[in-house]
Amino acid sequence: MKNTDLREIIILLLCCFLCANVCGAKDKEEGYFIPRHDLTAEGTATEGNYTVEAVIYQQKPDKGIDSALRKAAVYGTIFKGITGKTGAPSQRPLAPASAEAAHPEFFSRLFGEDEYRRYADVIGSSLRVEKVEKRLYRIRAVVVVHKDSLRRLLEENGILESFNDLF
Amino acid sequence: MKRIILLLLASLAVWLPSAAQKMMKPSVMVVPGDAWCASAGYTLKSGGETYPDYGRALVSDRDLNNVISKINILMADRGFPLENLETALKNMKTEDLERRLYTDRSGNAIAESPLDMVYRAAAADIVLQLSWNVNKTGPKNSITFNLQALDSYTAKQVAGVEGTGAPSFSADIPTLLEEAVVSRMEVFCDRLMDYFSDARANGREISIDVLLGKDVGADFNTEFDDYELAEVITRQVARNAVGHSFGKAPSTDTMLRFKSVRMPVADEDGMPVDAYSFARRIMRPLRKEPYNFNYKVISKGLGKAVVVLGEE
Repeated sequence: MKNTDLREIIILLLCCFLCANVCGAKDKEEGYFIPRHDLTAEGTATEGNYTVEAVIYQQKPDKGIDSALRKAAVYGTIFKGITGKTGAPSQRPLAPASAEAAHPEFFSRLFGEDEYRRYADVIGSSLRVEKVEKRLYRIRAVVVVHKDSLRRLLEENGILESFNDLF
Repeated sequence: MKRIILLLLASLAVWLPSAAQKMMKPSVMVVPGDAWCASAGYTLKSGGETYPDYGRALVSDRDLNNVISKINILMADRGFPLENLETALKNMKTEDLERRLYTDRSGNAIAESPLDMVYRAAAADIVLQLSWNVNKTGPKNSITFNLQALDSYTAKQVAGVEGTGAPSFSADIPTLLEEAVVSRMEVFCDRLMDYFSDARANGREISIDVLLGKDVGADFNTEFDDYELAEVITRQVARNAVGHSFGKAPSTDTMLRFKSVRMPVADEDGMPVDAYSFARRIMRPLRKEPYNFNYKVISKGLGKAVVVLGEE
């Protein structure tokens, strides 16, 4: 192999290595916080939506509750699924748990910015706050998750496969 | 510099995820379940046997129409439009008329049993059998709902959901039925998707029957290079099945039956494959030396093919 060939290959490999490092560093800088939460199916289903009772735990009972409930409901619908009860069947998670690590940029954008707010609405009158211990509050509310829109978003971004991808 | 660009492009080609293989799309249709038809009285009798009467059920039962329509809408929303039973029945009536005209001209009657008619009506690769019943507990009503996806060729249940909704004092039956469908279709679609994803990864299960024609001049025990004909065909099936995975159904001296053959969903060129093209691929070497067989492959749908040796 000629020296010039070898030099070209080394330059190429260095470029790839640098590019990979830059991308990795960017991912690590982007983070998002999901509150501890539980989701239970609530009442009757409506077309295109899940109605869930979302329970979150926070240190403060009055700060950012609406956002935290929406974020928990969207995150739980995607990765944890919804626990069922009599008359309201359980629902499987929309995406496998591995999707979060496989698509860090997408989920950083969804949860790190305010995009998740478009996919859930809190029913204000259902909000209940209880103090469970010193500096810990259990906050529960009924949240409507727009699962058809959420699924479409995941499909369009290559996180989920649709029937159209198969045939 | 050109070399660097070429190398870069080659590397990118390796990194990019390979395009997912497309499968041949199965036809899927919702039909009322046999048990539901029997309990609702939508049956017809012929030769001592009882068959579901889909036509009468669709005309007489508004709830059935609503439920089928709702399932079709929700499946279309997920990007998988279904075939409509009512339209299939109308098409069948047109076919019947054509068959009668043909009979008149040729002078030969075309015999068809009620069971044939039922299968022809629900000529879908996957049949979604729907049933429900209304539970009454005092003044409260609830619905127990069941939807099963059955593969027409393997008779296996490939997806399903069932369950009982919340009892209600005030909601009427159509509302309870709608709730039952809406709350369970997401899980049903996910399970159906799992089945198709498995088929793409591990091959679609199909059935192949090999029959001996009148003028074949051999039987399944005839030997070629120390292998009986049945062994030759079986090895061909195994060689072409994904993971060499297949099963054998009870066979006779004149018929060799393969079931649960894991057929690849696409060929080497990425073109979707059905049982007909797969069976032709399996049989192709039998046209050559030392076998020299003619054969005919008859398609029985996406997942079943019949090969007749000795015919063209």
